[in-house]
Amino acid sequence: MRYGLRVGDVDGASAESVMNLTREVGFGKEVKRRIILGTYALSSGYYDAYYGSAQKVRTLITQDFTNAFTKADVLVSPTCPTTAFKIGEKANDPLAMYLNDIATIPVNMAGIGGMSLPSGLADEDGLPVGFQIMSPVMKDERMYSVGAALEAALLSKWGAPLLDKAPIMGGAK
Amino acid sequence: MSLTYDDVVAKYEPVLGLEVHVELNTNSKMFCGCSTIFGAEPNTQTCPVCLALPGALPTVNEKAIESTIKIGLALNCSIAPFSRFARKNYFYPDMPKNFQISQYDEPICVNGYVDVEIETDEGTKQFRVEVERVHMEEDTGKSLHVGGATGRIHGADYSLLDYNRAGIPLVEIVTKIVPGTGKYAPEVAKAYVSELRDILRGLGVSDVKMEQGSLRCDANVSLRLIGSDVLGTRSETKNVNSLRSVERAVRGEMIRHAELLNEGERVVQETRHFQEDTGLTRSGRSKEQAEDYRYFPEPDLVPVAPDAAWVEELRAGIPERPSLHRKRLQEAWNVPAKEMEAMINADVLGIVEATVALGADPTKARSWWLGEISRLANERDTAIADLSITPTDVAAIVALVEKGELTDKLARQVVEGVIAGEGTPAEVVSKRGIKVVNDDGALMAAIEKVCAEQAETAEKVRNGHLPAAGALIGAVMKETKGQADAARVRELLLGHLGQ
Repeated sequence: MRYGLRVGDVDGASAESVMNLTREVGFGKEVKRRIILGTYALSSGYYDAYYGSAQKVRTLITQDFTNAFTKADVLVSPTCPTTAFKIGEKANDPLAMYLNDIATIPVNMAGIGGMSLPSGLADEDGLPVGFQIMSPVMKDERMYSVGAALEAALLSKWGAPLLDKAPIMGGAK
Repeated sequence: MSLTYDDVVAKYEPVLGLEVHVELNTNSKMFCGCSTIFGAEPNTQTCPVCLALPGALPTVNEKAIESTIKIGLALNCSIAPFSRFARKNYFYPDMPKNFQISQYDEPICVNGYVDVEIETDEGTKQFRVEVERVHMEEDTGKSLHVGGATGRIHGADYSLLDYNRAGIPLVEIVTKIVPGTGKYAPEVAKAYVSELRDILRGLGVSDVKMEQGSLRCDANVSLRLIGSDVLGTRSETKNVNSLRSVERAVRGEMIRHAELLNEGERVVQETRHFQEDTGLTRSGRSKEQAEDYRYFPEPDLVPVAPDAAWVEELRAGIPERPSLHRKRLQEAWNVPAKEMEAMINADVLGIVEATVALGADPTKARSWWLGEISRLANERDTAIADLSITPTDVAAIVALVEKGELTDKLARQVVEGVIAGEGTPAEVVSKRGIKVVNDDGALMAAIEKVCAEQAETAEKVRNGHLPAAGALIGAVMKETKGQADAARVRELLLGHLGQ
C-alpha cells in the first residue's frame, strides 16, 4: 500500500486490518469478482477441474489457430461484438460485459499477435467500429503490413482520420 | 508416560522424508543482479525486482541453473529437457511479491538417489535415500517481529524486514519417503544430510553452512506399526541447524509420536520448530487446514529447456563423490578411519592430498598439516588455508628431512619461517643458517663437554641405565642449537659411554 489509497491506518490497527479496509474500499466490484474467481480456480481441489482443464482448452485453441493459419496468412474479425455501451449500463450483467471481449481473448489464449484498427462508424448508432487482424506467432510484421495497407486504403476513402467524423462525446450530438 | 527409544522402535517403524534447502553461492540473485554477499547492512542489496516494485520483471540467473543441474547430476537425477517456474502464492511480508517464484509440477531434476553408509549392530550398512526432485526457487527476506509474547507477526508491536536475502537462489532437494531404516532412522537422516553437504561442497555450488542457514533441513517423520503398510500422520520439523540436530530432531519426534499413539491420541499434521537447547520440538503452524499455495506457471519467465549437450558437458565435470574419493584415499594411504575423520574435520584433506601428489609420504604430509601447521594456525587464530604455506612448501620440507638435511626439529623452524613469510623452505634454510650438524667431530666435542658437565648422569649410562641417556642427548642437542640429528647423537653418545 505504498502506492495509492491507504485506509484505516490508525494507532493500534494491525497490518491485516489496514489491508482489509484498503482493499474493501479501493477495489471495485469487477476487480473483486476476478480476484475471487481466480483464487477459486487455482484452489486445491478445484485446480484440475478449472485451471487444469482451462490449460488444456487453451492448447486446443492454439492448435485451432495453427490449423487456420495453414489456410490463411492472417485472420480478421470485428474487434468487439457491439459498439460501445454507456458507462455503467451493463454493470449488473457481468457476463454481458465479458462477452464484449469474446473476439479478442482468443488471441491472448493462443499467444499470437492481434491488432485493432478503426474501420468505420456503425450505421445504427454512428459509433466507431474496430477491425481485428490476427497473425501467427512471431509473424507480427505480417500483421503490421496488412494493418498499414488497410489503414492507407481507409484513409484515402475517408479523406481524413475517422476521429474527425466520429460523434462528439459528453452528451453533445 | 515417558518411553525409551528402544520401546519406540520395538513397536513402530519410522518413515522419514527430508527436505533440504541450499542457498547457491552465485554472485547475484536468482532473478536480478543484486549482490548475494552475506551480512551486509539490511536492505542495501535490493532492487525493484526483488522488492517487487510495480512493473519490475525477473530474469533467470544462468549460473543458478547450471549449479542446479550439477546438483541434480551429482544426485543421480534425470535432468528434465523442459521445466518451468511457478508462482507459489502466499501472503506474508517476507516476500514482497506475495508469491515466491518456485517450481511446481515441472521441476528441473527428478528421480535421483544418494547412498549413505552408517554403522549398525551388524557392521557398516548402506541405505539408499531416493531423491524425488530438485527444484529452483528464491529465498525469502528475513523478518523480525518486535514486541509481543511469541515473536510472531500476530501481536507484534512492529516488524523489521531485511530483503537482502529475498531472491537469493535457493535449491530444494526433496527425498521420497525413506522406509526400512528402523531404529537407524536418526542416523540415516544425519548421514544423508552429511553426505549431501559433502557432495554440494565438492561441487562448489554452495557454502553449505548450516549455522548460517545456507543449508537448511526440514525433517518429516511419521510412525507406523511394524508390519503395517498404512502410513501414519507426519510432522515436519524445521529450524534444524546442525547435523547433530538432524539426528536429535528425528529421534525426538519418533518418541513424541509414539507417546501420542500409545495414549490413543492423534498425531497432528503440523510444522514444528526444533529447539537446540532442549532437543525437543515445539508446535509451529498447523497444516490441518491445508495451505493452499494456488500454484500456477510463472508468466514472466520463459521455460527452462537446457540443451542436452550442455547437460552432458556439465556431467563430465562432476567430481568423484566425496565419500568414494575419501575411501579411495584412505586405502591408498593406509590410514585408520579416525585419522581420515580428523583430516576432514580440520578441513585439510584436500591440502594433504595435494602435498602427497607432490611426492610427500602420506603419513608425513598428514602429520605436518594436522600437527604443527594446525597448531600454528590455531596460535594465530586463522584458518590453515589462510597461512602462507603451500603443499609445495610442505612437500619440499618433507624431502629435506628425508635427505637428512633437516631434522624434525629443524624442519619445524623452517615451517615457522615459511609461515612468517620468510620465503620458500630453501630460502628459510639459507637465511636462518639452518643446517644439520653432520660433522661427527663437532658432535663428539659437544658430547664430551656434556658428559663432563653431567658426570653423574654419564656414569649411570655407563653402568647400563639407558633411560638416563635422554637428558644427555637433550643437552647435546641444546649445545648444537638443535641442528644435530638426534639419532646420530644417541648412537655416538652410547658408543662414547661404552654402550
